[in-house]
Amino acid sequence: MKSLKLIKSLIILFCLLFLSQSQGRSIDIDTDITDFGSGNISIKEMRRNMRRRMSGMRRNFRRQYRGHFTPREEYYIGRTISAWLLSKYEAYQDGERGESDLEIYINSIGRTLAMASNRPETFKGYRFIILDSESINAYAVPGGMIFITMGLLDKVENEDELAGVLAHEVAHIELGHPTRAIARARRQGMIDSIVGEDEDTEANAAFKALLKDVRKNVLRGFNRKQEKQADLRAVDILIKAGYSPHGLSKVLRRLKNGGGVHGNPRLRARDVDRKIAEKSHVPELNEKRTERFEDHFYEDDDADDYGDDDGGGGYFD
Amino acid sequence: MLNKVILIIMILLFTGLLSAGRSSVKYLYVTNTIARVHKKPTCYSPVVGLLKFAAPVQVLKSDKYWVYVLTPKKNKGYISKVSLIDGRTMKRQATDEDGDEFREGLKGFSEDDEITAGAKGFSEEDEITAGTKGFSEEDEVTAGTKGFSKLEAHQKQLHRNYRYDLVDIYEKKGAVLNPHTRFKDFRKSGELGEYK
Repeated sequence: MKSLKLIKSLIILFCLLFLSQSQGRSIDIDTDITDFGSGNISIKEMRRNMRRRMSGMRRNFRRQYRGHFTPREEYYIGRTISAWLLSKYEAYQDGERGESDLEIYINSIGRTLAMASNRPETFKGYRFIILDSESINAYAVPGGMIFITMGLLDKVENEDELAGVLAHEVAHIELGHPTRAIARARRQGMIDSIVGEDEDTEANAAFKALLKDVRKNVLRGFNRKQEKQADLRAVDILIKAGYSPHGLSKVLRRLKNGGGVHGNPRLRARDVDRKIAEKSHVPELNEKRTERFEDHFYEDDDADDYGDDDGGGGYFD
Repeated sequence: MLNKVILIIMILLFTGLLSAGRSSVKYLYVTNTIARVHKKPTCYSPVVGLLKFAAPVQVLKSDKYWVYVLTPKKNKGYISKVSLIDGRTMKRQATDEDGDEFREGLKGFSEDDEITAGAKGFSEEDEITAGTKGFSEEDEVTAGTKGFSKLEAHQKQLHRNYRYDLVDIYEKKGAVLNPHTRFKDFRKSGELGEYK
């Protein structure tokens, strides 16, 4: 009797595997199949049980992989967040006027850093956009759009420091922080409402509500743990790219009185320094890079148009 | 005794089926609008080919961040793992609500959508020409988004005050087909990347 149960169980297992293979999917069978064999049940009941189990597994499977955003889904979330940011803040230069030297310069640094990250490519690639705002902040939007304010640019004194700020934002993208905070259970509704073509007002309302989650993260900054993770990851990215990671800790120390920084910047700078101390080789500050930074930020001819007199940076008030 | 024999036969059948089910050739698909095929497993190495969205590649070997692939045109190189998606997720997208759009992307792929700079061996000259034969920087923005106009229109209708127009402009003007070549001089003058 006992062996009969065992054989029954094996037959069911065999059938389940056959079904899963025939559907071209590999399903992790984590249910307790041996339960099937308990008691004397008819073939009809066995089939019914099996069907129920299969549909349950399929449901779990769908739920499991649906919990993650694909790059394309991330892009469409980010696209809406970016469109919202650009309606809230004025961009440094009207997008239609072509790329300015400053935009090209910042994109060159950002792209060089992205190439050193473990996520060198996103659905449509990285973009670094300057916002004409005095607040001290930078925003990493899902999909790879990174916004940096004039206020924050005003706080950096050389290219390595600027790279430190951008590397921190690239690290957020690499680590998936912008979308990670969205509750897993709410993700599918969000995806449906993003990619849904119909005028489903319920889905649209859900999307608007859920969009707030992402906006909150992007605007207010991520939690302390995520900020620390991004700081530490930024050190690796900077070293790999050839920038001095000390630039990041210097900017953080300078921002100690700034309002837009998440977490205590002095403590964050200390963590960064500790991480740097663990490294056997750290690139030094480079004169050539500092020179080209000054070429972009301290142009005498434009000083009257953009700058102030306290040496705080040519382009900014 | 008979039961034991049956049990052994069943186990053998089970393991046999399990191994038969596993395909020895593994394919992944490009999930970004453009995937760059590099000579070495680093973005600071020359781009030897470009693949558009939904292009299938055969996996030859892989590590944590890079996959060594055989492209549809039988060229070999490294693609960042984040640019590739497995067939299961590809199927999922093809059966979702937006399946039509995704299928359109799949149908759209042909071998002509791949450009190879290093078909006759990798050289710097080939690298420089990558991106000029058949591909344009527009492709970085448009590839993989064929058929998505409905979706974008829907998003715009949903958030009428949002500046999607500026997003489009920034995407277009910031498009870089081959970052390795485009920013090479920048890296060289700043002693960065491969010049550090």
